[in-house]
Amino acid sequence: MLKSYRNRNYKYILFVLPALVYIAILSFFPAASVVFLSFKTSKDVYSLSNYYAIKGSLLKATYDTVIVSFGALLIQLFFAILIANILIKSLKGNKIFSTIFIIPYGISTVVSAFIFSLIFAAVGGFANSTLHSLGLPVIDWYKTQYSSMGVVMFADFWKNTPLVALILLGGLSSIDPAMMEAASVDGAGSFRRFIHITLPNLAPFIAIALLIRGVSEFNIFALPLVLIGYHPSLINTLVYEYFTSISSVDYSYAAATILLLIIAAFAVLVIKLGGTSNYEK
Amino acid sequence: MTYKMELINLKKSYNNVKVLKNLNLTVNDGEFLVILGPSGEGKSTLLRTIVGIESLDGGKVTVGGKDVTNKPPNKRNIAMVFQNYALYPNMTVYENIAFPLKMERIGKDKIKAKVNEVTKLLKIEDILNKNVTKLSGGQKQRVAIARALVRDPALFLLDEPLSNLDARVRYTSRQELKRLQKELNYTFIYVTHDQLEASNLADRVAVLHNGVIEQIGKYNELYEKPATKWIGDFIGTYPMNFIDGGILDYAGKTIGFRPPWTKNGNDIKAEVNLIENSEGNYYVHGNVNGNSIVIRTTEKYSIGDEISFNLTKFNIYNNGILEDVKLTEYYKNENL
Amino acid sequence: MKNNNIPSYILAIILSIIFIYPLYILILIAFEPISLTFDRLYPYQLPFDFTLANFESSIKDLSLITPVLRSIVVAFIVSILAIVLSTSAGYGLNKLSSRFSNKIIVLMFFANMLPAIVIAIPISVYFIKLGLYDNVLGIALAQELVVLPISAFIMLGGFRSLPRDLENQANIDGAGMISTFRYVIMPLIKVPLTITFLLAWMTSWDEFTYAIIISPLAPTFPVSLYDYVSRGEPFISASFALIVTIPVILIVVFLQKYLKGEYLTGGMKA
Repeated sequence: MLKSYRNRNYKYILFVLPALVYIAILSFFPAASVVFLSFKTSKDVYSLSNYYAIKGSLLKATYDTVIVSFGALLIQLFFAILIANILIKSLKGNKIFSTIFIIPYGISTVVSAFIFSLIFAAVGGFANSTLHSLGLPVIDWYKTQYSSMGVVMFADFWKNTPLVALILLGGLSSIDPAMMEAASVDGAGSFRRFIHITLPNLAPFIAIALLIRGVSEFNIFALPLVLIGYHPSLINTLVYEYFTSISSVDYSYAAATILLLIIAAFAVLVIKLGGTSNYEK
Repeated sequence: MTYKMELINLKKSYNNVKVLKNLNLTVNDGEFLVILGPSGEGKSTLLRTIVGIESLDGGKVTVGGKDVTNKPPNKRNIAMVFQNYALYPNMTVYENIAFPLKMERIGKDKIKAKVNEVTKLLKIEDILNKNVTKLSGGQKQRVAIARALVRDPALFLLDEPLSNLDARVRYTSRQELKRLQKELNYTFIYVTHDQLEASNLADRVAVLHNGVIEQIGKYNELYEKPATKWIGDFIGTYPMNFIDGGILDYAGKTIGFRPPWTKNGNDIKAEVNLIENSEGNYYVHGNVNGNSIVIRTTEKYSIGDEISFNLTKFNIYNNGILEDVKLTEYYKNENL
Repeated sequence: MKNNNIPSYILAIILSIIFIYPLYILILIAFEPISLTFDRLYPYQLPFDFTLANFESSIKDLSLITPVLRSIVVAFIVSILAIVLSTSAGYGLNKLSSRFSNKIIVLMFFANMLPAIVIAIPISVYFIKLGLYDNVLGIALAQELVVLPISAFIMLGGFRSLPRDLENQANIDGAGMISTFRYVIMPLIKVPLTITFLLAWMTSWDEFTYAIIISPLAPTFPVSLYDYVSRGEPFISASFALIVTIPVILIVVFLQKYLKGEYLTGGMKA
């Protein structure tokens, strides 16, 4: 009694323990077991053969995933900066705009994917209907793998830009307006103010947004699954494809391990690029 | 009921910094004890260990003869008023004051009667239904004190309760606190860095320095006979003057005297380098063999003058510790 | 000044159209007769007709109601569990030194970065053994992983914003741990609790990866919607998708002001 009472600061770890244990058992342990199982070829034999067997599709899926992820991330970032800069001005009707801009965040991923599948349907799609009524030729949105990936990127941009914009808006509103005024007194135009004041001050928030979104970007699963199926497969859908056919479950572990590696690499990249200091702050 | 409190060999450190080092202190029942010390000397830590929200590394706390060292705060029957009052922002004034009684599972009618009693005493009957976040500083302080009073605790701890108030409110609150304490005959332990509060409120003042109570006594005793050079320096509007003992045949020791303990004479000489005018007196700053001193005089001097004076009384310090108190031939009561 | 704002307005309006158009399409197909939408090569984009027939037929179709109910149950389990675990964790983290608590938070977010599909596959194997496969509780337990770090983070922010010494004061006033929590802390963390609850609820409602892998035969709504789409029968679920989307949009609009910097970055300061 005496002892525990005296060490009262340490007893608070007990409150954190349930959450930590939960995460350890259901997150770290399974992730580790995936890596372990990916090397298991048959009973008690461990090799790289799972990786060799799917080398081609794995490389292709990795490549496509990186393209989709970085593409979607850049589009999101660009529009989020734009939106945040609109919302930070006290425009009339701002409340309405900010409410509209957040709507996609409230539409679940699968429902979004569902709607976009109707919009971009090759036959009977709303996008083509618009083109047609404008007298333009209709487009087969899924004609090439890249156009298919473009559809996924667009849907992803639509669904996730609001969150990024919110984070950046938080960053923008933390910039002291006096700094802006000082700069414009010093003769800086709006573009130079943006480059020299807004962007540097926004950098930590961009890093947070990149980390949060970037990691989820490499994990997109529902959107490509609903919109393009396995044509082409991104890593997540590839893992699922292997997992759902009995003959190739072992391959899914190998693909999953590669996915883990990509995510880890991305996280390290963002943190190294200045994320850490801001994150710790 | 009033209680006596004893602190025996309290030890406490933070990250290997010793805040309390074998601290001993006895507070008599019904006493108003002020713990005085500069910021960062661990005054608040001491209160927090007494009340039990901070654990001790060693030592014993007894209240009314009972050892409470290992009891949690809610079982110690000690009330505490925090510097920021820590009122419950989600409750009204009434609910705040009633809270300790509610925790004792006292009946609603009885709670009401007791709350009414203390609110009358503190003259806050008319704000009972207000939200505490909307109160003025003085009102908040009264509510905090009412909440402490209502439970009839064995001991009252107050952590700089007046420091968040503006000057005028602080003055009236001080008078009121003293009156309350004497009327109700509670044991108060009051922490402050403000000497004015200490001299006005305290039956006894305990000076906390270097993790121990360096001296305890009436404020006047601390002023007249500081037990150490450090206390002489700390207590008083002007620090005690210290000069080399060799000047008055106490070679190897230090002589300490207060600015008023001087009279015209030729024993000690100094060059004037600063003069302050304060309510009819001049405080003349000078230098004696490299030690800066301040003396009080009614005569006018200019900077650069030589001033010479005798001491009416002085203290002798040996290695920083009070050794003797001397009255000189020039001593006369009216000089003080 | 005024001229300055015109480009902003134009941009805001264009973006508004982009962001609202898909929702408009969902509403359109929910209330238009199929003959004007799905059955046409070039579906009409404007509301020429109005019908509730789509709703009637989809509500009659029990195969969609069950997944929605299942989704609701799962979302409640996830959010209640999130409240319990994250309140405890947030409370504890707030008491630990920030150097230590920051490390724990980073660890939690690190867990959050692990891809759901990577974790879901081995978990599904354990869950088969534990009888949690194709099971509401099983989905909820897995989805909890997604919400736990952000919930703990939000609750930590909530506890950090409490006035200093309040808990100590309650202790001194005679309240034990449970009373302190019930009478003093709880009323002051209602806002972060509400946000945690709603965010967890929404996340679970939206979650697809764990749901499809852990419970393919007893699907939640997103999974069953996917089933319909992959079977080429989207029109059955269109009006249903609208019904289940409206409440979540309302939650998001309500949460809007809390989703800004404060709660996403608030717990970060040390």
